[in-house]
Amino acid sequence: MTINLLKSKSKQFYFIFVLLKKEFALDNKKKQNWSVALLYLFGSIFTIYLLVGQNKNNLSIPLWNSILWVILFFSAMQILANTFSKEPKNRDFYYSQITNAESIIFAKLIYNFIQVSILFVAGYFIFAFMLGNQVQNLPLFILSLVLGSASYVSTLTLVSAIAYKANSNNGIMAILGLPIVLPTTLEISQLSKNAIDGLDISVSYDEISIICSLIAISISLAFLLFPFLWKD
Amino acid sequence: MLKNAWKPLSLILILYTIWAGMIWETPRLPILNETIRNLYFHVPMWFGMIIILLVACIYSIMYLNTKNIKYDIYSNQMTNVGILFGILGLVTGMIWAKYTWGEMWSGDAKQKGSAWGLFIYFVYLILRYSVSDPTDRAKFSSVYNILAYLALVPLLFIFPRMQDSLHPGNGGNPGFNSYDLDSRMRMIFYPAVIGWTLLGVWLATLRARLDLVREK
Repeated sequence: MTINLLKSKSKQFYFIFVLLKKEFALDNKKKQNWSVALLYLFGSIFTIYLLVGQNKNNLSIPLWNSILWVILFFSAMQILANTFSKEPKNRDFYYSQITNAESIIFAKLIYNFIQVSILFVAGYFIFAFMLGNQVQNLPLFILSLVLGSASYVSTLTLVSAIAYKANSNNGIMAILGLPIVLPTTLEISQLSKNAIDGLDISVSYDEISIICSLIAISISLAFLLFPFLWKD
Repeated sequence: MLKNAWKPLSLILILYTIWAGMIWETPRLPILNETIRNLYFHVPMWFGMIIILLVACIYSIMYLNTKNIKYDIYSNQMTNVGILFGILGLVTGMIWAKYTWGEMWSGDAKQKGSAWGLFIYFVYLILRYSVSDPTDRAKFSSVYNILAYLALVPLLFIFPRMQDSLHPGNGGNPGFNSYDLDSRMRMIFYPAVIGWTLLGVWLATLRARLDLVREK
């Protein structure tokens, strides 16, 4: 009995590993997913650079912060909307035969987290390069970017599953996801505002703990609700 | 007979609270003056909305567990009534704010949170319209309804308490408990909450039964 349990557990970990490898292979093969997200990020930042200009004083700190987060949110949306629709057609049934829904959502969450945090850090550096860097506490700001990507991914992966199953157009994804992530966006922008002002990390413990608990809630919800969506 | 007694009871309670809420004496307080009577009409809307949306969320969980389409219909109609109560609560709050804060919409943390909470539920309606297959619609909207309720609670009860807000009970302001020293207001407030909630449940069950008949 225990041996069987151990065997199945290790099998599950093995499947998660295989699924993660598959995600990397898929994006390596079809590069349009990544390039579209990066180009979207670059294009929107470049538009703002043309509209505002590089002078640091043109943007006040709250405006700088909020424009950055709006751009990052929509580029995350761009990449997360394809979480399930990038798979080759009619693979769902095959995946549900060889593995369970929990492994699939776990692999998707990890892969999306890696993807979006790289995208966010890259987005910050492009933004700071074009519009002037106003951040004084850089480690805390990077932490806020990573926490932001974790909270967006944990909520929007489930939402993209709903959008993918509902109908495969991406328009509904933005409208479903935007209101749900608002509570986290408010907290995240407060945290990154603290980092821009150069405050010590001890000031922001409240925000960090709230964001972490919101992430925990949304990850557990994703694990609870995704199996209902996945199996027909 | 007695099984349905709660339906007329809701009407009796609401009529009683409208009469008593307009006529009975209230504490005399600066700024608030007579607008304190809004407690009997504005706050029961939010109490009723939170209770009815919680019931809708529980029906969604029951749908996901049993796959019985009946629960989805009940969940949908409960959500519709919850949205109606939310709109009424927002409007009564804006009228009250006109006479106490000076403006209908002053961008208060509580106002922003409740407006966004309603927006989440409008999206729920859009999701329901966009899917035509009844089983799929039931599945997606149940999942989204659970997400929506869990996003609504922090928007209404956690964030306004952490920011500056003029709303009673938030931002360090005293709640209504400190105003009614002689607990006369409670004699009207609690019946109002029960009455409006029962009326909402009645409305939702009527519409859900109509939907069930249409389904057949």
